Amino acid sequence: MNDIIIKTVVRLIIPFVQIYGIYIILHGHISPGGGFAGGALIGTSLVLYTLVFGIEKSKEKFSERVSEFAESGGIILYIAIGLIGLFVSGSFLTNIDSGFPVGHPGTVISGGMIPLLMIGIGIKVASTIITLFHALIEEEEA
Amino acid sequence: MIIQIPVISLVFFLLMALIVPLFKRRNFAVTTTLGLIVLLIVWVLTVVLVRDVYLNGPFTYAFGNHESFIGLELLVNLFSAGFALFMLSLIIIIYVYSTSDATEGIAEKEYGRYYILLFILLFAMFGILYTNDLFNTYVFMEILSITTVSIISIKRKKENYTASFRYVMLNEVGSLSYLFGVALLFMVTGHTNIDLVAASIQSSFDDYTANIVTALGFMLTGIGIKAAIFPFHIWLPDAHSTAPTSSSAILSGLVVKLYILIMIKMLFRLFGFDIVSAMNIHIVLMMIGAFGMIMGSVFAIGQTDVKRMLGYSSIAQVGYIVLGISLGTVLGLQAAFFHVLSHGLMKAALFLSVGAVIYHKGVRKVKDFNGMASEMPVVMTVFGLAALGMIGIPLTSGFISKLNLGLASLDANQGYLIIIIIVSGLLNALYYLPILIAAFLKSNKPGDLGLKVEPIPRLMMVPIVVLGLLIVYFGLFPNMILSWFEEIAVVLL
Amino acid sequence: MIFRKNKVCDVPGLTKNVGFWSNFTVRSTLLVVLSMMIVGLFIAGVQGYLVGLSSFLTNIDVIYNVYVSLRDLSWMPLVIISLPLFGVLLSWLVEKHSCNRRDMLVILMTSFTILMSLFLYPNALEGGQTFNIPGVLGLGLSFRVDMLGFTMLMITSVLWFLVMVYAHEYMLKERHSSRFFVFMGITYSSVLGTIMAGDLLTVFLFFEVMTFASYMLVVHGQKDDSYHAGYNYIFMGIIGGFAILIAVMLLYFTVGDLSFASAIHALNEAGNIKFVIIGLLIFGFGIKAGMAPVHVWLPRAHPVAPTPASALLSGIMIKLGAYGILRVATSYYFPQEGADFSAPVWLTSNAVGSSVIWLGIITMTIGVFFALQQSNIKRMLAYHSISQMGYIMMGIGVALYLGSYGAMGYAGALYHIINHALFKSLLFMVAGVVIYHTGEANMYKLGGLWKKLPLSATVCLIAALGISGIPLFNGFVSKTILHHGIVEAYEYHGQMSMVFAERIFIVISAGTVASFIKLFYFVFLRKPDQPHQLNPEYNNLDTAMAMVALLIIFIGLNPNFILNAFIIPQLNMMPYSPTFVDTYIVGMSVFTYDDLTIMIWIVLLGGLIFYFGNKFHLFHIKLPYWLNLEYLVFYPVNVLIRKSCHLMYGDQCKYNAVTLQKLALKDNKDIGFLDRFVLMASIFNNRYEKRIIKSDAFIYTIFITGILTFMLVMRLL
Repeated sequence: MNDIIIKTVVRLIIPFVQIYGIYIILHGHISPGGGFAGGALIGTSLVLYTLVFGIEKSKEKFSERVSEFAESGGIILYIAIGLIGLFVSGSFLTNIDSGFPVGHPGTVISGGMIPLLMIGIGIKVASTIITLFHALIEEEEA
Repeated sequence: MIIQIPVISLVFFLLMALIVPLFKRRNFAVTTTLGLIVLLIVWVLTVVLVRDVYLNGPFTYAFGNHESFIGLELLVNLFSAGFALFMLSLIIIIYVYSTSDATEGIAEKEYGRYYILLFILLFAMFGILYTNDLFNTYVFMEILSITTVSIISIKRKKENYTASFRYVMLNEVGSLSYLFGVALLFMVTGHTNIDLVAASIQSSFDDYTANIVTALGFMLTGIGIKAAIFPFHIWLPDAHSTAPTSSSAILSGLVVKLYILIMIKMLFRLFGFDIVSAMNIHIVLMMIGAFGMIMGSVFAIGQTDVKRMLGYSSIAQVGYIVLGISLGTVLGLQAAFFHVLSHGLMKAALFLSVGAVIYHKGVRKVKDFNGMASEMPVVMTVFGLAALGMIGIPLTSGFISKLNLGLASLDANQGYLIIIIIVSGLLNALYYLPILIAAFLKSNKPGDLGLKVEPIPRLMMVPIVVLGLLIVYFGLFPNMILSWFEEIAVVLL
Repeated sequence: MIFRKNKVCDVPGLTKNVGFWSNFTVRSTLLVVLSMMIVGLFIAGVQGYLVGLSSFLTNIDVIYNVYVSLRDLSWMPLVIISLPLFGVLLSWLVEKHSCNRRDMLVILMTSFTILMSLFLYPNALEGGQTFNIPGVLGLGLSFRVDMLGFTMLMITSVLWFLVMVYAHEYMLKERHSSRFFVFMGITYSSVLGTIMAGDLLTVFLFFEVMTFASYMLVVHGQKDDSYHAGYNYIFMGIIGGFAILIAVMLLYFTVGDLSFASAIHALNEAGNIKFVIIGLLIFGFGIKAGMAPVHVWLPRAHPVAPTPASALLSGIMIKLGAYGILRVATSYYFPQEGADFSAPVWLTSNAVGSSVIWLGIITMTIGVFFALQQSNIKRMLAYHSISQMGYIMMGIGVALYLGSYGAMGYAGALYHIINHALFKSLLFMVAGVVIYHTGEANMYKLGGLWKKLPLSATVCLIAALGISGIPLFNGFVSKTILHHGIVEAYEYHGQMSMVFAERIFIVISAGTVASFIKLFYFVFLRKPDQPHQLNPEYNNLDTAMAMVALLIIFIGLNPNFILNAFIIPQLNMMPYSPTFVDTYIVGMSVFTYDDLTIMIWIVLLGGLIFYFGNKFHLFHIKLPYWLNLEYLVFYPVNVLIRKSCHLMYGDQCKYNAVTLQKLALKDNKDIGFLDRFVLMASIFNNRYEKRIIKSDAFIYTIFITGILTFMLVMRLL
């Protein structure tokens, strides 16, 4: 779109949307939401960017290479955390017994490994949404 | 350390699937070799696991050390470990084949995607086999469905889309059906862990009959759709006719069997055969199995495309397995398990040889098979062996499974089933023999032809020959495997 | 798999200046004579005739040790089975050089097989050693060669050897001879395996292998009628195999042990299932034996196969069907030791026996009747095979029917198996010679060949006299014993129907005589319409035929030799009453006044039939097309489907007339039963498959509703 109003507004809004997404990811173990919802938010912000600025600029921001790493990285993070649990205390995805910081219930640093998992999931979901969107847009153009 | 093996196998598969895109810019052989190494490592680990379970008995593994009623549990006994080993072995053989089948319709840059999907499929398969939780089974089932439909419709052709769409729709209906059953059970028992649910069902059956009955019905139908049991088999032939060969082999030889194993788990461990027979489900299954055996073959007779014909033949063979399960005795289950093994081998051999024929000659119609054996002798010999096994000729493993199935049905006082088994064997002969006769005898070229081994890549030839040898081996010396299956069956019952 | 280029084989006539000892024909002739002498000496020696020679040989330690170790080798059956397979492998290697070497190798291997199987004789006299291979094929295989098996083994190996000598010469004129010999070897192995088997599963295994291997022999010509005949052959073979499989399963379930030992007590306790089992076994083995009504594959398969294969199909392989029935019925359904004649333990066997007798009689009749109608020599001989198998079946029936007095029928059946193998294969060989030299198989177009082919005419005469049952030839002996058997069937049980059976027996024998007068007259004697140009010279064909003819004459002149050496030891092993055996069979003389006079009547009647048949052209009756079995079954089904289709769809019915016409062909030689079934299935598929696929959701809904209501109803009841 070439409308200058929309472009300016979107350029202002996107950072706030992304911060809100990160907030939801990090507070996944305290409040509703978690990795999936937060990741969807971040992804949607990137979709908004694509819609307004076009696909080429979007691809500069979020190229295929980045998406590859993001997707693989998300899962590798998850698996790595699980494997820590396996090596330290004998079972995959063990939480408290593996020595993750427990903290006080209700604060951000609590719940052991769950925030870390949420981060991984969030990255992956966001990357998936934007990749799928790019694929669909390219299908239509082609 | 040994108890970590199931999780490590799952992790290996997932990691391998994730690493493949990173190698996109290198020579593709690196990826496939790495994949083979991973598969072999996991195979060795699984052998160790099977040995351990055989000697020391089953064990459970809780994720995160949580209690079973709030956590996720894996149950590793001879059933899961044994079948995991079998499926992995078959996958390795098919994998070796697929590494050289590059040009069958798959675009070059999508070739890596095929292997990503394959490894995630393996991940899901192992997950289903090991898990002890109903909802977890659902999750893995969904992953399996999606990856299966992807490896089937990976060729970008128009006729693919209708077939894969129908496949996805039907499978989704199946999964949702299953989920509905799980939800009903959760409503009654409050757990999703299989052991806890089973204990709870036994105690609360009389109070909540309607719930449990409905749950059983939905779960059975859902899994029936996905396992291509007779009235729900509709998606299978279309899926086969447009899929690449190794995907067809995996679908028909392994994925369908996996769902049948889920059904066995469900019927025997979750509900217990007492409840199942009290509701006469086994009679329903028997009828479905019998009809499937006959109708599958009848549909196969008129086919012109070889792969579709093999798809319908799979439906008939799945009927055998369902029949064996429905008998409900140790012998019946043993025969069903052996047929899972033997049909996996035979169907994979058939599909792989057809794939080699398509690779070398480019023909798929039945009437183009004239004189094929003079140009591709080894491949057609293995095809012939597998076809004879389907018919039930001795010296092949198919004969042993027929014999055991017949003896099992006699043992369960259902002797009239023997007639159906034999008639089904004859119907199989009606459509396999013409291909064999045409291939071996109706030569196009006049005069004799010299002996030569066909010029297909060795990586294609070796798996086919290995499968042929295994078919004959299990046809001659089945007793060791049969005794293992008997142990598994006794535990289940 | 092993399709080799046709090497240029040494053609006779091209080999000039070859020394006398390296000429193929001479070498094979010597080999034949040598082998026959060894066989005769060995059997005579064990029987105790050549005491001097045998004691001299046994005193030499080396020879004696070798003899004992070979005699007591328990896995000798496996050795014998693997000999032909080994020969196949070797011939594959040798084939690169020349065809002659391969054929000589084949002939050597078959004669070596005879030699090896001779070592089973001493043990067979005592009931045979059992050799078990546990664990193979789930239930284990076992081998045991008793006297019955040894007799079959002897006749099989001798005949196979002679036919291989014959085949060398014959296959020089055919293509794909290497493939032929490979599958001949595999068939030979499986035949040996079936004969030497000790339990029913082993029989089944080798039976199936034999069906598939001999299919390749039948289909060797690769023409259209070869394919039709082969299709029919293999499907009936598979159906027979499956019938035997069902019987194996039932037997294993009822009795628990498949080895050939008496199981009558366990079977009696199981009730009516014993009749189902024996019915299935008779059906299954009967398909192979060419028993009516499942004989239809025989007249189609024999003419299209190459002559050595036809000779062996008729000579040996159909006998395996009879051998199977005999073995199964007399092992499982007989008591362990001989009970009295009227003991209730024989009742099952009586019931089974009477039906087998009548099956045999129907088979005989159908065989001779159709044989008289044929003009193709090989087809006529095929129908005669059916008829003679009817004799054998009748003999088996008598053996079962008369319980402990059935030894006469048993002896007659076994003797007739031997005799029929000899003269039928000889007749096929003669037919092959005629076809080889003249290229013509229709007997009405031949004639006057006795001048050009004197040896063939002589041996054909000998064989024809043998099959007709003329005294001094071997057929007379076995037919007389069978006749005694059927007469006893009436005497001991007093059933009137057996009298009719005996009358039919005599008429059929007369019909056989007539048919062979017809054959000999038309092919060899009468003046031909146009004379044939032939230049035959002495070759392997003649050697083989001459040897078989000599065997026929030998047996004809010494009927008691076979009885004493082979049959009576077996009868002593069976639960037949020993006094009966001693009184009637040992030292039986067949040249009695009654038998000879009956023979004269038969010959006269046969001559009359031939004369009148020829005069009034009775030999060309063709049955109306709709009397065909397949047509009777299939046409009503087709009409039904067509009518219902019209009912449902009116004019939209896609069941168009063309396809249906194809299904209901008036000329049903082209399309057989199974082809029709396949066509119907294709029509069904094309019409309904797409509809079924599109209605998937509908099916799902119906099913889940159905299963839920079913379960709820069952629960609430």
